[in-house]
Amino acid sequence: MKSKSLLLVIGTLLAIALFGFLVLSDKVITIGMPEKVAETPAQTTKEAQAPTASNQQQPATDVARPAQEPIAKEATINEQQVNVVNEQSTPAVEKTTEGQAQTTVTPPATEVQTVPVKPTPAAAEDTTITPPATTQSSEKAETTKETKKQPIKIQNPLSYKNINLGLDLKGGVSIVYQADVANPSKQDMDSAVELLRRRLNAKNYTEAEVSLQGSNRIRVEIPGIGDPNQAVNEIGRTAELKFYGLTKEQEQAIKESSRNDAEALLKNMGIEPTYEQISQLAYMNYVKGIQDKGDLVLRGKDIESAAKSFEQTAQVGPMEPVIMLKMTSEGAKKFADATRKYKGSYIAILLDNDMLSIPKVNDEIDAGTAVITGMNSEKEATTTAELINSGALPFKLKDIQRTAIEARLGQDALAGSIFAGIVGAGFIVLFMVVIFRFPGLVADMALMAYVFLVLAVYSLFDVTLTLPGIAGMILSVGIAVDANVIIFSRIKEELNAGKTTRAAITAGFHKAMNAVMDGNVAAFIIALILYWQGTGPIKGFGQTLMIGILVSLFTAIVVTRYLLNAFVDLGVKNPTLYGAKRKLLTVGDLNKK
Amino acid sequence: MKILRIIENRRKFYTFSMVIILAGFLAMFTYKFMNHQTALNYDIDFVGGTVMNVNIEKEFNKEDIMKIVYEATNSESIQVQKVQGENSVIIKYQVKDTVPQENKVQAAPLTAEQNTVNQQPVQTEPTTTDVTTPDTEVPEAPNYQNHIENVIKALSDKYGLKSENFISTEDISPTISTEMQLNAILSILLGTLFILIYISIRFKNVKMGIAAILALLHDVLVVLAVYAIFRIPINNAFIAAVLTIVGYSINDTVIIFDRIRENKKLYTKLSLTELINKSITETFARSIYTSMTTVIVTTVLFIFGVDKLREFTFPLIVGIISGTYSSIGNASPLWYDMIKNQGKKA
Repeated sequence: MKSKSLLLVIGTLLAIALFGFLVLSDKVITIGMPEKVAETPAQTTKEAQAPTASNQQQPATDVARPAQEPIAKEATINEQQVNVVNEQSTPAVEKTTEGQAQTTVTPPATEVQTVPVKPTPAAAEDTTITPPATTQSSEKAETTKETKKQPIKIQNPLSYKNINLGLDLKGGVSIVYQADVANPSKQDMDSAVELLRRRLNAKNYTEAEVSLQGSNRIRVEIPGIGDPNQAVNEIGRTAELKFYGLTKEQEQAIKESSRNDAEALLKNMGIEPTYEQISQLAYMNYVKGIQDKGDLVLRGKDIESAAKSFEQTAQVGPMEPVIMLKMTSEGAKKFADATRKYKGSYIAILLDNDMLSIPKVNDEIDAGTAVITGMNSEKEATTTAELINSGALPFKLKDIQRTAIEARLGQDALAGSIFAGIVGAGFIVLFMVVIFRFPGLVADMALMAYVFLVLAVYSLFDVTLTLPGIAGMILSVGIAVDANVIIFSRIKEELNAGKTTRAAITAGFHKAMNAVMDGNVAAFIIALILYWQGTGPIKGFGQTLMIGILVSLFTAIVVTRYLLNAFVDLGVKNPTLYGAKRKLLTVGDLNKK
Repeated sequence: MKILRIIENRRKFYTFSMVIILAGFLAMFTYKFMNHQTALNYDIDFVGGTVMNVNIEKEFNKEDIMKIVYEATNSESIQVQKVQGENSVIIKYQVKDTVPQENKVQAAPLTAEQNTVNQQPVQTEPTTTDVTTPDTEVPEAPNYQNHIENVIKALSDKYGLKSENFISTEDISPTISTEMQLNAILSILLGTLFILIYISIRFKNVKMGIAAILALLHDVLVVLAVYAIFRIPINNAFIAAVLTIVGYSINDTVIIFDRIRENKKLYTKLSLTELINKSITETFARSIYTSMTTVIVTTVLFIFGVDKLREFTFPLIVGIISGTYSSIGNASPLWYDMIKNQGKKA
């Protein structure tokens, strides 16, 4: 019994310490002897480091969707789609992306970054694109060789450095979009602003700010984002879904002409084209051909909703991510007509200039649903579904300015509030010990666990902290303490009523439970509704409040309870230590002695 | 323990609450109709303003720029963001009152040289301003140009800038749109409705739910009064403050109601007044401890934090105290007033 309790106490304290260590350390923890690493060949560091930039999260290559189509088998890119460097990369990568952010206005074509599977030196376009990736990794390898000389690197998802800081504390990216039409109406601009807000919300950028600037521009500020290019392209997309019907012959003709045109054009330019180059250009021609010649049968407004799902697309094979489309009643009718008309032919599904899929129509479909297959990843399916759901912009948006902005408040704002938080927490720790004595001390341990856990959850859930957010978090410490205050007050009452320490603890927790639960459930309901219904900072507030309530319930009830009982087992049971008014030996204590 | 006589003194508590809330409304009224300003001090987040992109070309201090813009416009909400890796800056500010503006322009007539500076770079459409603040700003159209000219002149004087340094100047709409404000209010209303349902079910008593929500409303109005009386800018932090108080207040009230529920079962012979007084007395220490811990932390933040943080922590401190006060002095007494007649009938 005693040894078990001792283990529990030590285990809990170690767990808190470990959590604290993980939360307070870097994103990548390096372990190893410095001397040893001096000899480590650069190759190993390169190998360990380089893949993190591209391989881990996403396949960096953007393979053309209709994989079954011979025309675009190879790694193809198109203007709209950019998916490279993920946000959760090593600090070294972050540095380079920040550097990128400094270059303000760049034409979209050059931003396309792909890492081809096999970099072919002959490909003129490819080589201009690939170098950043290779130089990045070699630079990185060099810096790590000099500064951090450790061989073992562990990714630490709990690091406090994963927590994003808001526009006020750290700054971020400021993008100015301009409507690509002359004199857009105020109404259209307003709905575009609302749409961008919805898209940012869907991406959990709840602290991003969107505002109308002048009469035809929209300013978007996103806090601390790693890769602005990706955000700019995803958020500013028109995102209009279009279905084009094509007869077999039409499709064949477009396919052939696009390839021939591509070859001819490249030859005219005096380049000996590679297979990849032809494919790329041919694919772009192909999409354009479909847009020009295809029969537009369905548009974005005919779609009611889109959702990510999984389906077995091949006869044998794993479940693949797909997008399920549900059409409006009008859309369902149009789709039924179209599938009847193009039975045995094709219906191409395009999102802006990006071909999602070009399925062959086998049967008339009148159920008002459609499935888009051929997604590269689950994430892509989710993002695309979100884009379709958010609706299409009333016009195309051009990003005319893209700048990295520094924090609105000075650096001292953050440092000051962290310092104040530590001082305030110190006061609470003292207060609890003075008022509740030994249980107060245990509550302080639980409070440490609370702070570390909350930070860890923030970093896992990509929470963005603003200055009010930090103040709110510190305040939530006070609310976390509240549950303990209620419980300990009850324990005190029970002790004063003459119960043994152990019985008083049990009764105290039992009696306090109703009050603690009701209070927290009521607050949780508010938080849930703010998260569910709210937009922007309101949604963000709901999220942090929910996290705070759940974590504080766990630490204040579960952690303190087990710790207190374990300490009683270990012999810490003098009632005065628990705040009882008189020193009194109870029957229970006598029996045990 | 001495039993507190809360129910007997409830009228005093009600009066005190009403005085503070009315003071808030009085302040709003005074600013709006006597001083011809907006009822509350809306920040740029809520009403929009002017955004200016300036290339300073040399190292600069953000605080200096804030000071210059403040002196040139009297604006209380100024945001200055440095562009990373460049010596340029994005300035956003919002101008409220018209009177000091005119004085300023007269006091500092523009020289011919500066006039040329002013005419070129500004690409604004004054007609599109003030859509969101229809009350006082209508006659302000000429002034709108003036404060831009003032800022341009002040910055040019200080950093020796030319017209091409002023990359753009435009109106900017609020980042918290009317829809978002409506959405926030709707969310809170929906939240309170669910709270009402929850309390009604858990405590088998709809009137307790109503009393809890009245106490909640009280706390929100007290926080609003603080913002109105002290002219604290209404911005993102305001939303956070109100929401925090809502969460805090409901928790506070529910815990007292819980004790009433428990004591009602234990002491069936107590009168309603005695029951409520006893329950409040028993939870009094807890109420004080909890609000003390929170107030201590917030006060430390207030003392050590930056100005921007003080605008947030001050209403919070008041809100927390108000939350504790209303749960003791308002929530249970209101419940008492709602059911006391029932008791007589029975």
